[in-house]
Amino acid sequence: MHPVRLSIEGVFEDGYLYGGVLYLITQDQELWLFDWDAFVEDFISRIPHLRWILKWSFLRNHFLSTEQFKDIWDTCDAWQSLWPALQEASEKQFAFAFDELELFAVCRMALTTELINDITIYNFVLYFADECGTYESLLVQENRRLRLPLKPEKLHDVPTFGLSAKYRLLNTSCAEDGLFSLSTFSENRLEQPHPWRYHFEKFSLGSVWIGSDFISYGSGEEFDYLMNVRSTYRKQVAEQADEEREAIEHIGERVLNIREIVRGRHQPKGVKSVFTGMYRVYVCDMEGQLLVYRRARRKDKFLQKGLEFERVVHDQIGTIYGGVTVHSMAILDTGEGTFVEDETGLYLLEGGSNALVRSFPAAKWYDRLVLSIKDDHLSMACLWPTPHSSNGLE
Amino acid sequence: MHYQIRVAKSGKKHECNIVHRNGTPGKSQWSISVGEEFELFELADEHHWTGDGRNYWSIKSNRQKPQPIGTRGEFIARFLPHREDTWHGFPGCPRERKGDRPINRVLNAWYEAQMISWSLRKKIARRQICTLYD
Repeated sequence: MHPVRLSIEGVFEDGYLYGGVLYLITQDQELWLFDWDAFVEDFISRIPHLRWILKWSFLRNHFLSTEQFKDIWDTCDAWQSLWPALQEASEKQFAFAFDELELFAVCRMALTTELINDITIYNFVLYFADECGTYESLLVQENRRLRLPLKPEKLHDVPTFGLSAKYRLLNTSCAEDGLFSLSTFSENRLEQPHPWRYHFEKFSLGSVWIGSDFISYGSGEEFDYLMNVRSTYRKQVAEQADEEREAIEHIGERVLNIREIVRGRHQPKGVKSVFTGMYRVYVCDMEGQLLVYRRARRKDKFLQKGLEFERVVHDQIGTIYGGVTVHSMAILDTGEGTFVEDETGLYLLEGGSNALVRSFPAAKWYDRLVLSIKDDHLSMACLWPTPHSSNGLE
Repeated sequence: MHYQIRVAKSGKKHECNIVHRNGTPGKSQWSISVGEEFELFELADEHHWTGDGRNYWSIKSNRQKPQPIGTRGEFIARFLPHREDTWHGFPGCPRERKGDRPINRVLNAWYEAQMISWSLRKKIARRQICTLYD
Protein backbone atom coordinates (compact mmCIF):
# COMPACT_ATOMS: atom_id res chain seq x y z
CA MET A 1 0.00 0.00 0.00
CA HIS A 2 1.46 3.30 -1.09
CA PRO A 3 -0.32 6.48 0.01
CA VAL A 4 -0.01 9.80 -1.82
CA ARG A 5 -1.11 12.62 0.47
CA LEU A 6 -1.96 16.27 0.52
CA SER A 7 -2.93 18.35 3.52
CA ILE A 8 -4.79 21.62 4.04
CA GLU A 9 -4.34 23.71 7.16
CA GLY A 10 -7.40 24.73 9.15
CA VAL A 11 -9.82 23.61 11.82
CA PHE A 12 -12.71 21.76 10.22
CA GLU A 13 -15.89 20.22 11.55
CA ASP A 14 -16.51 17.90 8.66
CA GLY A 15 -15.75 17.32 5.00
CA TYR A 16 -16.97 15.42 1.96
CA LEU A 17 -15.83 15.02 -1.61
CA TYR A 18 -18.49 14.56 -4.25
CA GLY A 19 -18.68 15.18 -7.97
CA GLY A 20 -15.54 17.32 -8.25
CA VAL A 21 -16.51 19.52 -5.32
CA LEU A 22 -14.98 19.53 -1.84
CA TYR A 23 -17.54 20.33 0.86
CA LEU A 24 -16.03 21.62 4.09
CA ILE A 25 -17.70 22.78 7.27
CA THR A 26 -15.49 25.12 9.23
CA GLN A 27 -15.22 25.64 12.96
CA ASP A 28 -17.63 28.59 12.83
CA GLN A 29 -20.36 26.47 11.21
CA GLU A 30 -19.93 27.71 7.67
CA LEU A 31 -20.34 25.41 4.71
CA TRP A 32 -17.77 26.03 2.00
CA LEU A 33 -17.75 24.51 -1.46
CA PHE A 34 -14.49 24.38 -3.38
CA ASP A 35 -13.89 23.51 -7.00
CA TRP A 36 -11.72 20.49 -6.18
CA ASP A 37 -10.93 19.67 -9.81
CA ALA A 38 -9.63 23.19 -10.48
CA PHE A 39 -7.63 23.22 -7.24
CA VAL A 40 -5.93 19.92 -8.05
CA GLU A 41 -5.30 20.85 -11.70
CA ASP A 42 -3.73 24.08 -10.54
CA PHE A 43 -1.30 22.55 -8.09
CA ILE A 44 -0.25 19.65 -10.29
CA SER A 45 0.46 22.01 -13.16
CA ARG A 46 3.38 23.25 -11.03
CA ILE A 47 4.81 19.73 -10.67
CA PRO A 48 4.81 18.50 -14.28
CA HIS A 49 6.96 15.41 -13.76
CA LEU A 50 4.46 13.99 -11.24
CA ARG A 51 1.45 15.18 -13.17
CA TRP A 52 -0.07 11.77 -13.97
CA ILE A 53 0.43 10.24 -10.56
CA LEU A 54 -1.15 13.24 -8.84
CA LYS A 55 -3.97 13.46 -11.32
CA TRP A 56 -4.80 9.79 -10.87
CA SER A 57 -4.49 10.15 -7.11
CA PHE A 58 -6.69 13.15 -6.43
CA LEU A 59 -8.85 13.80 -9.46
CA ARG A 60 -10.10 10.39 -10.54
CA ASN A 61 -8.89 7.17 -9.01
CA HIS A 62 -11.79 4.80 -9.52
CA PHE A 63 -9.95 2.93 -12.26
CA LEU A 64 -7.36 1.76 -9.70
CA SER A 65 -10.00 -0.66 -8.47
CA THR A 66 -11.05 -1.97 -11.88
CA GLU A 67 -10.35 -5.50 -13.09
CA GLN A 68 -8.47 -4.11 -16.11
CA PHE A 69 -6.10 -2.15 -13.93
CA LYS A 70 -5.56 -5.13 -11.64
CA ASP A 71 -4.65 -7.28 -14.65
CA ILE A 72 -2.16 -4.73 -15.88
CA TRP A 73 -0.68 -4.11 -12.45
CA ASP A 74 -0.38 -7.78 -11.48
CA THR A 75 0.56 -9.51 -14.69
CA CYS A 76 2.54 -6.98 -16.70
CA ASP A 77 5.50 -4.93 -15.72
CA ALA A 78 3.54 -1.76 -16.33
CA TRP A 79 3.93 -0.76 -12.71
CA GLN A 80 7.69 -0.42 -13.23
CA SER A 81 7.22 2.68 -15.37
CA LEU A 82 5.03 4.31 -12.72
CA TRP A 83 6.93 3.12 -9.68
CA PRO A 84 9.67 5.82 -9.42
CA ALA A 85 7.15 8.65 -9.75
CA LEU A 86 4.79 6.97 -7.30
CA GLN A 87 7.54 6.56 -4.74
CA GLU A 88 8.60 10.18 -5.15
CA ALA A 89 5.02 11.40 -4.81
CA SER A 90 4.39 9.32 -1.70
CA GLU A 91 7.50 10.69 -0.02
CA LYS A 92 6.61 14.33 -0.69
CA GLN A 93 4.50 16.52 1.58
CA PHE A 94 1.96 18.48 -0.43
CA ALA A 95 0.83 21.01 2.19
CA PHE A 96 -1.48 23.95 1.53
CA ALA A 97 -2.72 26.87 3.58
CA PHE A 98 -6.45 27.50 3.70
CA ASP A 99 -5.89 30.73 1.73
CA GLU A 100 -4.63 28.71 -1.24
CA LEU A 101 -7.78 26.59 -1.23
CA GLU A 102 -9.96 29.66 -0.71
CA LEU A 103 -9.03 30.88 -4.20
CA PHE A 104 -11.15 28.02 -5.54
CA ALA A 105 -14.20 28.61 -3.34
CA VAL A 106 -17.45 28.59 -5.28
CA CYS A 107 -19.94 28.96 -2.47
CA ARG A 108 -20.04 29.86 1.21
CA MET A 109 -23.09 29.46 3.39
CA ALA A 110 -23.68 30.01 7.11
CA LEU A 111 -25.40 27.05 8.71
CA THR A 112 -27.94 27.61 11.42
CA THR A 113 -27.47 24.09 12.73
CA GLU A 114 -25.87 22.96 15.98
CA LEU A 115 -22.50 21.20 15.87
CA ILE A 116 -22.63 18.87 12.89
CA ASN A 117 -22.57 15.19 13.82
CA ASP A 118 -22.49 13.72 10.33
CA ILE A 119 -22.97 14.64 6.69
CA THR A 120 -23.53 12.59 3.58
CA ILE A 121 -24.34 13.25 -0.05
CA TYR A 122 -26.42 10.98 -2.18
CA ASN A 123 -28.05 11.55 -5.54
CA PHE A 124 -27.28 15.28 -5.48
CA VAL A 125 -28.79 15.89 -2.07
CA LEU A 126 -26.63 16.98 0.86
CA TYR A 127 -27.79 15.70 4.26
CA PHE A 128 -26.72 17.05 7.66
CA ALA A 129 -27.26 15.61 11.11
CA ASP A 130 -27.04 17.51 14.35
CA GLU A 131 -28.46 17.44 17.85
CA CYS A 132 -31.71 18.96 16.71
CA GLY A 133 -32.48 16.78 13.72
CA THR A 134 -31.73 15.88 10.13
CA TYR A 135 -31.60 18.39 7.31
CA GLU A 136 -31.41 18.18 3.54
CA SER A 137 -30.13 20.61 0.98
CA LEU A 138 -30.73 19.97 -2.71
CA LEU A 139 -27.71 20.51 -4.96
CA VAL A 140 -28.96 22.52 -7.91
CA GLN A 141 -27.18 22.72 -11.25
CA GLU A 142 -25.31 26.02 -11.47
CA ASN A 143 -23.42 25.42 -14.68
CA ARG A 144 -22.25 22.45 -16.69
CA ARG A 145 -19.92 21.28 -13.96
CA LEU A 146 -21.06 22.67 -10.63
CA ARG A 147 -24.08 22.24 -8.41
CA LEU A 148 -24.76 24.57 -5.51
CA PRO A 149 -26.78 23.81 -2.38
CA LEU A 150 -30.13 25.38 -1.60
CA LYS A 151 -30.91 26.54 1.92
CA PRO A 152 -31.06 23.45 4.20
CA GLU A 153 -34.50 22.32 5.29
CA LYS A 154 -35.29 20.18 8.25
CA LEU A 155 -36.32 16.66 7.36
CA HIS A 156 -36.74 15.11 10.74
CA ASP A 157 -36.96 16.47 14.26
CA VAL A 158 -34.94 13.94 16.29
CA PRO A 159 -31.32 14.34 17.51
CA THR A 160 -29.21 12.49 14.97
CA PHE A 161 -25.70 11.07 15.23
CA GLY A 162 -25.17 9.11 12.04
CA LEU A 163 -26.42 9.09 8.47
CA SER A 164 -26.28 6.62 5.65
CA ALA A 165 -28.09 7.08 2.37
CA LYS A 166 -28.79 4.21 0.08
CA TYR A 167 -31.25 3.60 -2.72
CA ARG A 168 -34.40 5.49 -1.86
CA LEU A 169 -33.75 5.67 1.85
CA LEU A 170 -31.91 7.90 4.26
CA ASN A 171 -31.07 5.95 7.42
CA THR A 172 -30.45 7.88 10.61
CA SER A 173 -28.98 6.65 13.90
CA CYS A 174 -30.62 8.62 16.67
CA ALA A 175 -29.18 6.96 19.77
CA GLU A 176 -31.81 6.35 22.46
CA ASP A 177 -34.53 7.62 20.14
CA GLY A 178 -33.99 4.70 17.78
CA LEU A 179 -33.12 4.11 14.20
CA PHE A 180 -35.11 5.82 11.49
CA SER A 181 -35.38 5.36 7.81
CA LEU A 182 -36.76 8.22 5.78
CA SER A 183 -37.97 7.58 2.28
CA THR A 184 -36.74 10.78 0.76
CA PHE A 185 -37.13 9.97 -2.90
CA SER A 186 -40.78 9.12 -2.92
CA GLU A 187 -43.24 10.78 -5.24
CA ASN A 188 -44.34 13.06 -2.45
CA ARG A 189 -40.84 13.96 -1.36
CA LEU A 190 -41.83 17.56 -0.79
CA GLU A 191 -44.29 16.45 1.84
CA GLN A 192 -43.28 15.22 5.26
CA PRO A 193 -41.26 11.98 5.08
CA HIS A 194 -42.85 8.87 6.56
CA PRO A 195 -40.21 7.31 8.76
CA TRP A 196 -40.37 3.85 10.17
CA ARG A 197 -38.48 3.18 13.31
CA TYR A 198 -36.83 0.28 14.99
CA HIS A 199 -36.17 0.92 18.64
CA PHE A 200 -33.25 -0.69 20.42
CA GLU A 201 -33.43 -1.04 24.16
CA LYS A 202 -29.71 -0.69 24.66
CA PHE A 203 -28.70 1.23 21.64
CA SER A 204 -25.00 1.48 20.97
CA LEU A 205 -24.13 4.61 19.08
CA GLY A 206 -22.84 4.28 15.57
CA SER A 207 -23.29 0.54 15.52
CA VAL A 208 -26.12 0.15 13.09
CA TRP A 209 -25.97 -0.50 9.41
CA ILE A 210 -28.91 -0.92 7.12
CA GLY A 211 -28.58 -2.66 3.79
CA SER A 212 -31.22 -3.32 1.21
CA ASP A 213 -32.32 -6.48 2.99
CA PHE A 214 -30.52 -6.61 6.31
CA ILE A 215 -29.65 -4.66 9.43
CA SER A 216 -26.66 -5.38 11.58
CA TYR A 217 -26.44 -3.78 14.95
CA GLY A 218 -24.72 -3.97 18.29
CA SER A 219 -27.06 -3.68 21.21
CA GLY A 220 -24.30 -2.84 23.66
CA GLU A 221 -24.21 -6.43 24.93
CA GLU A 222 -24.37 -8.54 21.82
CA PHE A 223 -24.26 -8.39 18.07
CA ASP A 224 -27.27 -9.24 15.94
CA TYR A 225 -27.50 -9.61 12.25
CA LEU A 226 -31.04 -9.26 11.09
CA MET A 227 -31.61 -10.78 7.73
CA ASN A 228 -34.20 -10.45 5.06
CA VAL A 229 -35.55 -7.22 6.41
CA ARG A 230 -38.17 -5.41 4.44
CA SER A 231 -40.31 -2.45 5.14
CA THR A 232 -43.83 -3.57 4.37
CA TYR A 233 -47.30 -2.36 5.01
CA ARG A 234 -48.91 -2.85 8.37
CA LYS A 235 -51.51 -5.26 7.08
CA GLN A 236 -48.97 -7.84 5.99
CA VAL A 237 -46.92 -7.50 9.13
CA ALA A 238 -49.89 -8.25 11.33
CA GLU A 239 -49.92 -11.71 9.81
CA GLN A 240 -46.20 -12.34 9.96
CA ALA A 241 -45.10 -10.51 13.09
CA ASP A 242 -42.67 -12.30 15.32
CA GLU A 243 -43.37 -12.16 19.03
CA GLU A 244 -39.76 -11.33 19.73
CA ARG A 245 -40.08 -8.23 17.65
CA GLU A 246 -42.71 -6.40 19.61
CA ALA A 247 -40.48 -3.38 19.67
CA ILE A 248 -41.40 -2.64 16.09
CA GLU A 249 -43.13 0.67 16.01
CA HIS A 250 -45.69 1.78 13.51
CA ILE A 251 -45.19 5.27 12.25
CA GLY A 252 -47.08 6.31 9.20
CA GLU A 253 -47.98 3.31 7.16
CA ARG A 254 -44.67 1.59 6.80
CA VAL A 255 -43.17 -0.70 9.39
CA LEU A 256 -40.17 -2.93 9.64
CA ASN A 257 -40.62 -6.63 9.17
CA ILE A 258 -37.81 -8.88 10.29
CA ARG A 259 -38.07 -12.46 9.20
CA GLU A 260 -34.88 -13.95 10.46
CA ILE A 261 -32.26 -13.20 13.09
CA VAL A 262 -28.80 -14.61 12.72
CA ARG A 263 -26.39 -14.51 15.60
CA GLY A 264 -22.74 -15.23 15.07
CA ARG A 265 -21.37 -18.18 17.01
CA HIS A 266 -18.49 -16.07 18.22
CA GLN A 267 -20.27 -13.36 20.12
CA PRO A 268 -18.25 -10.24 20.90
CA LYS A 269 -17.88 -9.03 24.46
CA GLY A 270 -20.01 -5.94 24.18
CA VAL A 271 -20.23 -4.02 20.94
CA LYS A 272 -18.53 -0.72 20.35
CA SER A 273 -19.15 -0.35 16.67
CA VAL A 274 -20.18 -2.32 13.61
CA PHE A 275 -19.36 -1.78 9.99
CA THR A 276 -21.07 -3.82 7.33
CA GLY A 277 -19.57 -3.97 3.91
CA MET A 278 -20.46 -5.77 0.75
CA TYR A 279 -18.88 -9.02 1.84
CA ARG A 280 -18.01 -8.73 5.49
CA VAL A 281 -19.28 -7.44 8.79
CA TYR A 282 -16.72 -6.00 11.19
CA VAL A 283 -17.62 -5.86 14.87
CA CYS A 284 -15.46 -4.05 17.41
CA ASP A 285 -16.03 -5.19 20.94
CA MET A 286 -15.63 -3.19 24.11
CA GLU A 287 -12.21 -4.68 24.75
CA GLY A 288 -10.87 -3.37 21.45
CA GLN A 289 -10.96 -6.74 19.68
CA LEU A 290 -12.24 -6.84 16.15
CA LEU A 291 -14.31 -9.76 14.92
CA VAL A 292 -14.86 -10.31 11.23
CA TYR A 293 -17.84 -12.15 9.81
CA ARG A 294 -18.22 -13.09 6.20
CA ARG A 295 -21.56 -12.61 4.55
CA ALA A 296 -21.75 -15.94 2.76
CA ARG A 297 -24.40 -16.97 0.30
CA ARG A 298 -26.54 -19.86 1.44
CA LYS A 299 -28.03 -22.15 -1.17
CA ASP A 300 -30.76 -23.44 1.08
CA LYS A 301 -32.14 -19.98 1.66
CA PHE A 302 -32.58 -18.76 -1.89
CA LEU A 303 -29.06 -17.39 -2.03
CA GLN A 304 -29.60 -15.05 0.88
CA LYS A 305 -26.49 -13.95 2.66
CA GLY A 306 -25.96 -15.62 6.01
CA LEU A 307 -23.17 -14.95 8.43
CA GLU A 308 -20.09 -17.03 9.06
CA PHE A 309 -17.32 -16.24 11.46
CA GLU A 310 -14.21 -15.77 9.39
CA ARG A 311 -11.05 -14.79 11.17
CA VAL A 312 -9.68 -12.77 14.02
CA VAL A 313 -6.54 -11.44 12.45
CA HIS A 314 -7.20 -7.96 13.78
CA ASP A 315 -6.94 -9.00 17.41
CA GLN A 316 -3.49 -7.53 17.54
CA ILE A 317 -4.80 -4.08 16.68
CA GLY A 318 -6.98 -4.11 19.74
CA THR A 319 -4.30 -5.30 22.08
CA ILE A 320 -1.62 -3.02 20.76
CA TYR A 321 -3.52 0.13 19.96
CA GLY A 322 -6.57 0.15 22.17
CA GLY A 323 -10.01 0.97 20.85
CA VAL A 324 -10.73 0.64 17.19
CA THR A 325 -13.47 2.19 15.11
CA VAL A 326 -14.09 0.77 11.66
CA HIS A 327 -14.84 3.38 9.04
CA SER A 328 -14.93 1.28 5.94
CA MET A 329 -14.17 -2.26 5.05
CA ALA A 330 -10.46 -1.78 5.22
CA ILE A 331 -9.91 1.46 7.07
CA LEU A 332 -9.61 1.33 10.82
CA ASP A 333 -9.41 4.45 12.95
CA THR A 334 -7.76 3.96 16.32
CA GLY A 335 -6.59 6.28 19.05
CA GLU A 336 -3.09 5.87 17.63
CA GLY A 337 -3.91 6.66 14.02
CA THR A 338 -5.56 5.42 10.86
CA PHE A 339 -4.77 1.91 9.68
CA VAL A 340 -5.40 0.44 6.27
CA GLU A 341 -5.60 -3.24 5.60
CA ASP A 342 -4.72 -4.74 2.29
CA GLU A 343 -3.98 -8.29 1.36
CA THR A 344 -0.33 -7.92 2.26
CA GLY A 345 -0.85 -6.63 5.76
CA LEU A 346 -1.88 -3.79 7.96
CA TYR A 347 -0.37 -0.35 7.45
CA LEU A 348 -0.35 2.82 9.49
CA LEU A 349 -1.62 5.49 7.12
CA GLU A 350 -1.28 8.34 9.57
CA GLY A 351 -0.46 8.53 13.23
CA GLY A 352 -2.24 10.64 15.82
CA SER A 353 -5.82 11.02 16.87
CA ASN A 354 -8.43 11.93 14.27
CA ALA A 355 -11.48 14.09 14.72
CA LEU A 356 -13.01 12.25 11.81
CA VAL A 357 -12.12 9.80 9.07
CA ARG A 358 -14.11 9.46 5.88
CA SER A 359 -13.76 7.19 2.92
CA PHE A 360 -15.88 7.28 -0.20
CA PRO A 361 -16.38 3.66 -1.24
CA ALA A 362 -19.60 4.43 -3.06
CA ALA A 363 -18.30 7.53 -4.82
CA LYS A 364 -17.93 7.34 -8.54
CA TRP A 365 -14.45 8.80 -8.71
CA TYR A 366 -12.89 8.64 -5.25
CA ASP A 367 -13.04 5.11 -3.98
CA ARG A 368 -9.33 5.06 -3.10
CA LEU A 369 -9.33 8.35 -1.17
CA VAL A 370 -9.34 8.67 2.61
CA LEU A 371 -10.15 12.00 4.24
CA SER A 372 -8.86 12.51 7.79
CA ILE A 373 -9.72 15.59 9.82
CA LYS A 374 -7.21 16.32 12.52
CA ASP A 375 -6.79 19.06 15.13
CA ASP A 376 -5.34 21.70 12.82
CA HIS A 377 -5.52 20.33 9.29
CA LEU A 378 -7.19 17.88 7.01
CA SER A 379 -5.42 15.23 5.07
CA MET A 380 -6.46 13.56 1.83
CA ALA A 381 -4.66 10.31 0.99
CA CYS A 382 -4.94 8.18 -2.12
CA LEU A 383 -4.10 4.53 -1.50
CA TRP A 384 -2.06 3.04 -4.32
CA PRO A 385 -1.37 -0.68 -4.41
CA THR A 386 2.09 -2.11 -4.12
CA PRO A 387 3.39 -4.15 -7.09
CA HIS A 388 1.74 -7.56 -7.41
CA SER A 389 -0.82 -6.59 -4.81
CA SER A 390 -3.51 -4.63 -6.55
CA ASN A 391 -6.52 -5.95 -4.73
CA GLY A 392 -5.93 -4.32 -1.39
CA LEU A 393 -9.18 -2.56 -0.73
CA GLU A 394 -12.49 -4.23 -1.30
CA MET B 1 -24.78 7.07 53.10
CA HIS B 2 -23.04 10.27 52.07
CA TYR B 3 -19.77 11.87 52.99
CA GLN B 4 -19.48 15.24 54.64
CA ILE B 5 -21.01 18.17 52.79
CA ARG B 6 -18.58 20.76 51.44
CA VAL B 7 -19.55 24.24 50.36
CA ALA B 8 -18.22 25.91 47.21
CA LYS B 9 -17.38 29.61 47.01
CA SER B 10 -20.76 30.33 45.40
CA GLY B 11 -22.61 28.70 48.28
CA LYS B 12 -23.53 25.54 46.36
CA LYS B 13 -23.05 22.39 48.38
CA HIS B 14 -21.35 19.20 47.32
CA GLU B 15 -21.82 15.79 48.87
CA CYS B 16 -19.93 12.68 47.83
CA ASN B 17 -22.21 9.75 46.99
CA ILE B 18 -20.84 6.47 48.34
CA VAL B 19 -22.30 4.32 45.55
CA HIS B 20 -19.70 5.78 43.19
CA ARG B 21 -16.90 4.70 45.51
CA ASN B 22 -17.91 1.32 46.91
CA GLY B 23 -18.06 -0.74 43.72
CA THR B 24 -21.86 -0.76 43.43
CA PRO B 25 -22.69 -2.62 40.20
CA GLY B 26 -23.91 -0.37 37.41
CA LYS B 27 -22.46 2.76 39.02
CA SER B 28 -19.33 4.35 37.62
CA GLN B 29 -16.53 4.58 40.16
CA TRP B 30 -14.23 7.50 40.98
CA SER B 31 -10.49 6.90 40.88
CA ILE B 32 -9.73 10.27 42.48
CA SER B 33 -10.05 11.34 46.11
CA VAL B 34 -13.14 12.98 47.59
CA GLY B 35 -11.17 16.23 47.83
CA GLU B 36 -10.34 16.12 44.12
CA GLU B 37 -13.98 15.37 43.32
CA PHE B 38 -14.98 18.53 45.19
CA GLU B 39 -12.31 20.52 43.33
CA LEU B 40 -13.86 19.39 40.03
CA PHE B 41 -17.28 20.53 41.23
CA GLU B 42 -15.91 23.89 42.31
CA LEU B 43 -14.18 24.32 38.97
CA ALA B 44 -17.42 23.63 37.10
CA ASP B 45 -19.32 26.02 39.34
CA GLU B 46 -16.70 28.76 39.01
CA HIS B 47 -16.64 28.57 35.19
CA HIS B 48 -20.36 28.02 34.91
CA TRP B 49 -19.97 24.77 32.95
CA THR B 50 -23.68 24.16 32.97
CA GLY B 51 -26.66 24.62 30.71
CA ASP B 52 -29.64 24.76 32.98
CA GLY B 53 -27.98 25.41 36.34
CA ARG B 54 -28.73 21.83 37.41
CA ASN B 55 -26.38 19.64 35.35
CA TYR B 56 -22.71 20.52 35.71
CA TRP B 57 -19.80 18.95 33.85
CA SER B 58 -16.15 19.19 34.73
CA ILE B 59 -12.78 18.00 33.53
CA LYS B 60 -9.27 17.75 34.92
CA SER B 61 -6.83 18.56 32.17
CA ASN B 62 -3.40 19.88 31.47
CA ARG B 63 -2.60 21.27 28.00
CA GLN B 64 -5.19 19.30 26.07
CA LYS B 65 -4.40 16.15 28.04
CA PRO B 66 -7.37 15.17 30.18
CA GLN B 67 -6.64 13.10 33.26
CA PRO B 68 -8.60 9.97 34.14
CA ILE B 69 -11.02 10.43 37.01
CA GLY B 70 -12.85 7.10 36.86
CA THR B 71 -11.71 3.52 37.29
CA ARG B 72 -12.42 2.68 33.63
CA GLY B 73 -10.52 5.74 32.42
CA GLU B 74 -13.48 8.12 32.31
CA PHE B 75 -12.40 11.75 32.11
CA ILE B 76 -15.65 13.76 32.23
CA ALA B 77 -17.27 14.39 35.59
CA ARG B 78 -20.98 15.06 35.82
CA PHE B 79 -22.70 16.64 38.81
CA LEU B 80 -26.42 16.45 39.51
CA PRO B 81 -28.49 18.02 42.30
CA HIS B 82 -29.98 15.47 44.66
CA ARG B 83 -31.62 17.96 46.93
CA GLU B 84 -31.88 21.72 47.13
CA ASP B 85 -28.51 23.39 46.58
CA THR B 86 -26.65 20.09 47.06
CA TRP B 87 -24.94 18.24 44.23
CA HIS B 88 -23.28 14.86 43.88
CA GLY B 89 -21.07 13.71 41.03
CA PHE B 90 -19.87 10.68 39.15
CA PRO B 91 -17.56 9.85 36.21
CA GLY B 92 -19.63 10.27 33.05
CA CYS B 93 -19.73 8.26 29.87
CA PRO B 94 -21.21 10.22 26.93
CA ARG B 95 -21.44 7.13 24.76
CA GLU B 96 -23.67 5.32 27.21
CA ARG B 97 -25.73 8.16 28.67
CA LYS B 98 -27.12 11.12 26.80
CA GLY B 99 -26.91 13.47 29.78
CA ASP B 100 -23.22 12.75 30.36
CA ARG B 101 -22.35 14.60 27.17
CA PRO B 102 -21.67 18.24 28.04
CA ILE B 103 -23.61 20.83 26.08
CA ASN B 104 -21.90 22.52 23.11
CA ARG B 105 -21.18 25.75 24.99
CA VAL B 106 -19.26 23.82 27.65
CA LEU B 107 -17.38 21.77 25.05
CA ASN B 108 -16.40 24.94 23.20
CA ALA B 109 -15.24 26.53 26.46
CA TRP B 110 -13.03 23.51 27.20
CA TYR B 111 -11.62 23.63 23.68
CA GLU B 112 -10.93 27.36 23.86
CA ALA B 113 -9.26 26.93 27.24
CA GLN B 114 -7.07 24.24 25.64
CA MET B 115 -8.37 21.58 28.00
CA ILE B 116 -9.36 19.29 25.13
CA SER B 117 -8.15 19.00 21.57
CA TRP B 118 -10.34 19.59 18.53
CA SER B 119 -10.51 15.88 17.77
CA LEU B 120 -11.51 15.03 21.33
CA ARG B 121 -14.16 17.77 21.31
CA LYS B 122 -15.56 16.27 18.13
CA LYS B 123 -15.63 12.75 19.55
CA ILE B 124 -17.36 13.86 22.74
CA ALA B 125 -19.90 15.86 20.75
CA ARG B 126 -20.70 12.82 18.62
CA ARG B 127 -20.82 10.61 21.72
CA GLN B 128 -18.18 8.31 20.30
CA ILE B 129 -16.08 8.23 23.41
CA CYS B 130 -16.39 7.12 27.01
CA THR B 131 -12.89 6.73 28.37
CA LEU B 132 -9.42 7.97 27.54
CA TYR B 133 -8.65 4.52 26.13
CA ASP B 134 -11.41 4.58 23.47
